[in-house]
Amino acid sequence: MDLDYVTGMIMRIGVILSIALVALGVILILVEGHACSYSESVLFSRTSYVNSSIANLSYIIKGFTNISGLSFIYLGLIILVSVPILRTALALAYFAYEKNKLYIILTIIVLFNLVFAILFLPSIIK
Amino acid sequence: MLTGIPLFLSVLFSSLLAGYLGSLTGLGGGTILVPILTLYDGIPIEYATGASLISTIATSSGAASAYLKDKIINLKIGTSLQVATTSGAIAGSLTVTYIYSHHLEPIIYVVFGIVLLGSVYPTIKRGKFEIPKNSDPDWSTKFFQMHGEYYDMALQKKVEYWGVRWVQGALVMFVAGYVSGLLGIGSGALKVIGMDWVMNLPIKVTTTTSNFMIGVTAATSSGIYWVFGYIQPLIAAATSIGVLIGAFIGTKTLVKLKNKRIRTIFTILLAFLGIQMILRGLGIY
Repeated sequence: MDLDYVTGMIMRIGVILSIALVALGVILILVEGHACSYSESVLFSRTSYVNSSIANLSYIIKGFTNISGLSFIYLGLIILVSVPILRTALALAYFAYEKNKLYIILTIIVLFNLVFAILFLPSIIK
Repeated sequence: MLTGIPLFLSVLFSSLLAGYLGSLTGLGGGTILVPILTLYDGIPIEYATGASLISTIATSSGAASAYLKDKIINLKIGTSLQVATTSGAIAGSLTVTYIYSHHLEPIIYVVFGIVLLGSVYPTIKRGKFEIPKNSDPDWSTKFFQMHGEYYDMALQKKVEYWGVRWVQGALVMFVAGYVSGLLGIGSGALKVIGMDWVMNLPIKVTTTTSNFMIGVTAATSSGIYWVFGYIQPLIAAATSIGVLIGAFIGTKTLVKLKNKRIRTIFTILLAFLGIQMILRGLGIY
């Protein structure tokens, strides 16, 4: 199995999927003229007060029940952020297969930094 | 100032251009995207850097998936240096929350301008050599297994290389990661300085490997950016779609193109935007 090929494929699928969801979200908002209770003019504004600070997981899932374009965009962005994490996990698999101890350790440190900074750090300081 | 759908299209177009140039140079789309968004589209710097951070992940992942085929990325060098860039990104993104919550935005403009101007000199200087002069391997070459080779399509030959001075390189990478977390960019310029100058790697290896590192570094900062609300979904949507399409066109040309012409265009643009960002930060422009 060629790991470069698999890695490239997973990254491509991840990026295409996330961008497709984001684009679908934008189209939904344009078609409906709103998302959740926000009007189009509020959403498409330079200084819009609608931003990621209120978009936690339960908010995003709730948005799907009334087909909110915003939830599609947020889900797309979350998938996008997970692509580098997956990529690093695959690098770990590669170094484990090669039995390269130094690089197994280094990759684990990178993965720790990523997961800690994305999942735990925000709730610690917010 | 534009609003509504014309604003969305304007941001989309700016991002397309930034993504194209960013991928050709390995500097990442964000370096010129944030100045264009803040100076010309009137986007607040928080949202501009948040959108840039997101699209930086898109470009990096998209471009890296294309480079993988060509076997130019050096996974070991990239991974070992990511230890430094991700640590820097954590420090940088924590710093920026302090800056924005104390309304010190002008600092970000000025620092951004300095980073842009600071990218000019290495970009000119580097133009002379396609492949660096060999310097003798040191202890870190062996310890971090930094030997590699790739096939250069422009030169039509196989290039063997090795990296040196890992520790000094990693220090530059920590700063690159810090700047990335602070400004929401990939800070490819600093990554290129570290790998090209300090570690003496060939430009194509530097460009592709730094592009690979940029996504992981940017993803590290994204959690903080998300909960602090620096990501406006529609602006981030426009930039990630635009930058990705631009970068896709860019990667189709990178492997075949000689490096000189791109750098000249980019250098002028960097200097111009850098001066404008500093003036904005100082309240003059």
